Amino acid sequence: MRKNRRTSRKMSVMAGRSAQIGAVMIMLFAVSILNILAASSCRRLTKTISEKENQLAKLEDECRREGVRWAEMQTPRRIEAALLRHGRMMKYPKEIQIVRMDAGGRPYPGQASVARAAERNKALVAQAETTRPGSVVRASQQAVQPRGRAPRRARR
Amino acid sequence: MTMLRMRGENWRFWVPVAALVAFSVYTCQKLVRAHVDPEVDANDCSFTKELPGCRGSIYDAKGRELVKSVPVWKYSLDPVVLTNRVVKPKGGARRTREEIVGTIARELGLDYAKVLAMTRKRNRYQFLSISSDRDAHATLCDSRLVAGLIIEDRQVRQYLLGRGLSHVLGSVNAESVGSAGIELRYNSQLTGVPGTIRGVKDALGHEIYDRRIEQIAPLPGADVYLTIDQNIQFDAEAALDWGVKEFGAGSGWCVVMDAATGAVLAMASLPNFDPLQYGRTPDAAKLNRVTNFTYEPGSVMKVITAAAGLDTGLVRPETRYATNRDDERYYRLPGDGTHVWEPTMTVKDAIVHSSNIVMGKLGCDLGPERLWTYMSAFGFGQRTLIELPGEESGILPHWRKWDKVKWSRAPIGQGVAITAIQLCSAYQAIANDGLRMKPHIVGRVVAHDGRDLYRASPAPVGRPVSAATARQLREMMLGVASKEGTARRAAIRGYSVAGKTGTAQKVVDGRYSDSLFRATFCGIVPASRPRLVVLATLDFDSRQKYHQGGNSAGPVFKRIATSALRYLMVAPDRPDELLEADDDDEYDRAVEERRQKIGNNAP
Repeated sequence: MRKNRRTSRKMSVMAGRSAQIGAVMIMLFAVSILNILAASSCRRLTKTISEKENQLAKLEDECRREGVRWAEMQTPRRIEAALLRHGRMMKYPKEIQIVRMDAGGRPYPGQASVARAAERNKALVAQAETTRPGSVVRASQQAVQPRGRAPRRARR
Repeated sequence: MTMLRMRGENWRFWVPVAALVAFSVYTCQKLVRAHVDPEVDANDCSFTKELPGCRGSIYDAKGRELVKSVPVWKYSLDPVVLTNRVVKPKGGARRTREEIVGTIARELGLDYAKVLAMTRKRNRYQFLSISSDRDAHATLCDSRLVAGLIIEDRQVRQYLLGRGLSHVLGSVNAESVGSAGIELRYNSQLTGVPGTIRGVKDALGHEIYDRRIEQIAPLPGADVYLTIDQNIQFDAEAALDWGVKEFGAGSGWCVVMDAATGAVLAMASLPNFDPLQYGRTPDAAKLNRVTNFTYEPGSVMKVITAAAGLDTGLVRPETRYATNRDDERYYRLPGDGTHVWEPTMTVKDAIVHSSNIVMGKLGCDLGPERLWTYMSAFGFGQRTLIELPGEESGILPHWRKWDKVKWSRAPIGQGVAITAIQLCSAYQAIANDGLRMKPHIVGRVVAHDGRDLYRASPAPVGRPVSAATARQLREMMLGVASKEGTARRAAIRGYSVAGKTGTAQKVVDGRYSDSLFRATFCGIVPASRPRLVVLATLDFDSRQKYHQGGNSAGPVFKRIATSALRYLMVAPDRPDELLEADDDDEYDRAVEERRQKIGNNAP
């Protein structure tokens, strides 16, 4: 009898311990599952980051390449060759095409362009004086008239 | 044991539990440590990768790119993969070797037969091409179409002006180390700091990204801003090229310098080279003749002699000298040829007509000590310290070592050797009212974070002559580019030109040659308000009709100066001349010639 009592007591103790161990094991299992999930998520995230980093590097490289391509197209040799190939010429302005003036818009004295303009004006005035009055005005009025057929008068 | 005995048979349960806990604690701490300090389990799978720092760029004075590093793809072929006639690329259908080679050749623009011949070679690394074509890269990266292709990321230097400005910019070698020009001189600043990646690879050799130990980003190199203006440079090179071809010269060089600051606006030397082919370039083309080549200047040195005479008060512009050579006071004077015929001549006329006898006499009167002192003060015989490698100092022996012949020869530019940049710097002093500035070609060096590592500022290096003397000299030199002078073809309509011609005999077998010359014209424009100093030299390797400084170098000077004045919109100091005829312009002629040339070459 004594022996049986001891055995049953032992069994009850073991049962209590098994429940505790089971709980610990379940907890460990849950933690490990969580750990695996977190680790895989982390790995996925770092992979995405690295992919984005590579993409950024590629885009930066592309940007540099495009920048150089544009800069190359803007070199004087390329611009001039492109223009001349199409029969166009682009030159720096001649001195008589430049009028230097102060902040008030008054041209500096002694400029070739101003002198040339004054000469032209003088010639124009002289021409106007020799011809009949109003001819210069008429000429300028003709110049501003639009091209093409004149608009028809509305019928009454 | 006592405890276990006391507690009875419970030890049978507690011992495995304790062992389990101990094992768990050990594993956990290892895991935690591995996460906190990844170096703990860094084993053979760890790797270190160096990230190259991008080399800095070079810009012109207005911030336009001249040189830049660009990422490209280097394509090579592994013929072993294409040994079989039919190859199955990864994930794609079977393709014949010829089809694959055809795709590669087409995308890279290579000869099909050459690429096919490469597949029969044994070497597993056959270089194909370097390309930055994105579309070609996309096709060649497609593993279903192509096999046996090795693609590497590389950085190459892109020289946007091609052969232009090659002597200034220089070149880099295959390791991206500067080997000439600014690339060499500023190599340490241009070179970036490489970065590092340390990490762990898996069994397949792929990096495990979350186990990356260290990542240090690379730092790009500093950028160099030159004082060169690429538009002035382009016109100067075009004019020099025209001059060399037009007058049959073997080589030529030119410099455009700001008269007030000593900043170099353009520098060209012909023959030039392709910076991408520097290794295969002959040495003659590699030579920057502006800074690294010394030569006897000839008559352009007469201005320095006149400057010494005027500044010491020994002569005045109207002081007269006899043009005969039988005066016993002077030892072995040089001849004057047929272009000087007056029995007496003023110092001013001696400059205008380039009289050797008068200048020789003036040099003898000055004496070697004074002449040498003035030549040294103008910077001859010493480096200008311009920021280019390999600059020569020229040859100006101390006056104590001069023999009597040199007393009359040095004043006319014989027996001394100079560099073009020294001559330009000396004329800059005359243009700047006697104040010589340090010639410089680098404006600033800017670090990748925008800090200025170096910023050039105009630095005076001496005043060889007074302002009054400099003005007198400019006045005397005005006559050179006139109808009476030796360089009437150098005159520019609307602008006063103060300059001097030089026709130096070249030395062949230890004797002065009668057929080979070096023609120079150095001028200051506009002479009344100096803005530019322009030097042009043509070096003749064979007998040519127009070999004089005024006839050959003069027109080159005119072409360079006209376009530079137009580009900089310098106001003319003789506007009345423009009113006489405005259609006669050297710049217009130059552009028209270029247009015709391109028109003729057009298909």
